Amino acid sequence: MELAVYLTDPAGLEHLEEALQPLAMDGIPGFISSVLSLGQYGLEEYIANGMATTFLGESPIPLELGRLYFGQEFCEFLIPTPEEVVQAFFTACQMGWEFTYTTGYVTAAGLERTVANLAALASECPSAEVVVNDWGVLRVLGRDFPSLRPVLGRLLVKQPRLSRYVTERPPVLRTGIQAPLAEIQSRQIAALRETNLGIAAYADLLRRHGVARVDLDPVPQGLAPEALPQGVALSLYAPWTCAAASRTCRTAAVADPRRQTAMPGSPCSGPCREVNRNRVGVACVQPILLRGNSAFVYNLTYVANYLDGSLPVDRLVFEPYIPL
Amino acid sequence: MQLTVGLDRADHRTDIANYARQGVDEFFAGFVPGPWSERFGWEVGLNRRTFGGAAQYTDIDEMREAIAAVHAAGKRILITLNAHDYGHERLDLVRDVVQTLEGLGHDGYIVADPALMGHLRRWGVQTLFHLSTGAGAFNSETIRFFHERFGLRRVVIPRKMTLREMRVLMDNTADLNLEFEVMVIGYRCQFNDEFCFSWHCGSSGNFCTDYVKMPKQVRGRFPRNWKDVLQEAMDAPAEQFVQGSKLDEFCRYIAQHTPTEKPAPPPAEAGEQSPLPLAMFNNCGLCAIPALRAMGVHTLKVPVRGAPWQKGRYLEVVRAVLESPDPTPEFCRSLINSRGFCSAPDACYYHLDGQEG
Repeated sequence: MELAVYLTDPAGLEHLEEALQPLAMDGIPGFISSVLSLGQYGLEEYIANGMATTFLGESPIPLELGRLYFGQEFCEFLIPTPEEVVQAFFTACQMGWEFTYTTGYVTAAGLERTVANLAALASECPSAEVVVNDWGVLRVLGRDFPSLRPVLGRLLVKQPRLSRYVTERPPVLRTGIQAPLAEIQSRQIAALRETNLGIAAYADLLRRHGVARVDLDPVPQGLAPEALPQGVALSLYAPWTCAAASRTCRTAAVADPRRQTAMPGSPCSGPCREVNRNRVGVACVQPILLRGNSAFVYNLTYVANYLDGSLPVDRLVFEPYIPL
Repeated sequence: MQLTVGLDRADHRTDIANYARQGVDEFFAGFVPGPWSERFGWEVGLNRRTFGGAAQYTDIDEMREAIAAVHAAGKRILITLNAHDYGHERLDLVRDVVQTLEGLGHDGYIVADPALMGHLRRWGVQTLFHLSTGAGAFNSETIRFFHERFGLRRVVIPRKMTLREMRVLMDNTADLNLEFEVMVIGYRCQFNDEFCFSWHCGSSGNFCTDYVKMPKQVRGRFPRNWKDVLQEAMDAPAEQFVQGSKLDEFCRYIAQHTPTEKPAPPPAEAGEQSPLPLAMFNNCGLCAIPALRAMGVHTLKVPVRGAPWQKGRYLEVVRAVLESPDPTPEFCRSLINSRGFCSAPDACYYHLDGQEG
């Protein structure tokens, strides 16, 4: 199975080797863990890195590191420059890896920057993959950059993700419903294992746009094999699944005395690169973390369920850190 | 500029006539019949209101009567089929619902899922679609993507776009002669509808509201060499627990790069900021209405279903602003009876400069 590593900025490229280095988290003495505040809420990202690198190192399925994902899915203020995209592409070349450029949902301003990056990428690597999370980006890609190969991004796959609320026995409002609770719950879980990707007309539409791969976030309820179109390859992101995304940002509002959240529309200094603003809570096995404008849930527990051969997963996209 | 408002099963013929007299030009409603709710409950929805039957029509005769009442008042009504994904197994049941609805003479559908749009056309639905906020049309290329494949009449602009971003979006699609609809009042979630992947239920807490209520904390992110520091500390702890060591530098870096969590807003002066208007009208974009009208927004949406009294109050204030020759922020605040409303953090729907703080 192909292993890709997903980075979002040039600084990440500089520390690529360290990000991939396995670290046995359970071997850290308590006094060091205490100094680093590793047990405190909001820092599970680093624990997750250690657990994920260990998971990858011990995987029973052979993983071959051969691809770099680079770009920004969640915030148009963090879209890299064309020079940074090209730098990332050459880094991948130096490593002997393939390259995938990730794009996000964008307004006109973000689309302009995305198009500039696509042009730079197409001139250096006409057959590179591009992850699309915006239908407008897919349209531009097909019209102006037909040699680039689109991948349907995880934000356009609408399967519910959030483990806290998608369990074997989800809460159900019973008002006005006669059917037994257990039946409703099992049908709900079955429904949540479906996606529209299994609808023939939709699969045709994606095929007409050259989509031969779909990127997925692993979810606790899993994915029904029949929920997929024929002939499409799957990638899985790990260890972070996007639970919710937004165009307002609590971290960007840290320096704003008036607001708890910042609206987009004016330049952002990107404080999320330095600090994180999260809810206060108790650390848990599968934490939900807010990074910038989006929320992520730790998903490594679910990844193995996707690798039993029932689904055409042939790529794992390792996120050393939350990709924002 | 017209006004659209949601209907639900509590709204009967006389209510609909009253709304029309209050200036409502168009309605939208969800229909969830028994065969669907008995199979999937309310949480796996035919539309984005997954909190129970009170926000829907659940009886076909009541739905038919509501559509007839809307048409008798000379207005239009759209049906919401705006779930993000209907899945392949549910599609047959969706088709049954659509075939039932098609005989009732409503005026179209509000849709978000491209897979459903394709099938609605295959099933013979002729009306132009209203593209739901759930489709995430943040740019003109996205609108063109949907319009050229499925045919649109209107685009509901996603929440949390600035007025300037909306204007650019509309200008860039002026050749398509589409209508644009925006929301101006009511709860505006921390997250965006189109990228909400959580589970909503009318009988338990939901991720978004839980999250917003929880206190926040700002922490510095680790420097990129954190593993090196950690490894050195594990290999030779005695050398690291001294001033000037890598571990010491790491700890100082974190301390220096972590601003303190911002303080809570100062308490409002007496009478300035009662929590009741905030609870009722949050979030509010009333004073943006003149700018929205000037840029050519066709329809204002009052996205409330299942709460008749609240809906009535929203309609009163939105209509008053629409009819006012000079709806200043002071005028808007007088409508909602709160002089301090705009200074409450994040109360403003569009974060208009000068209205907050």
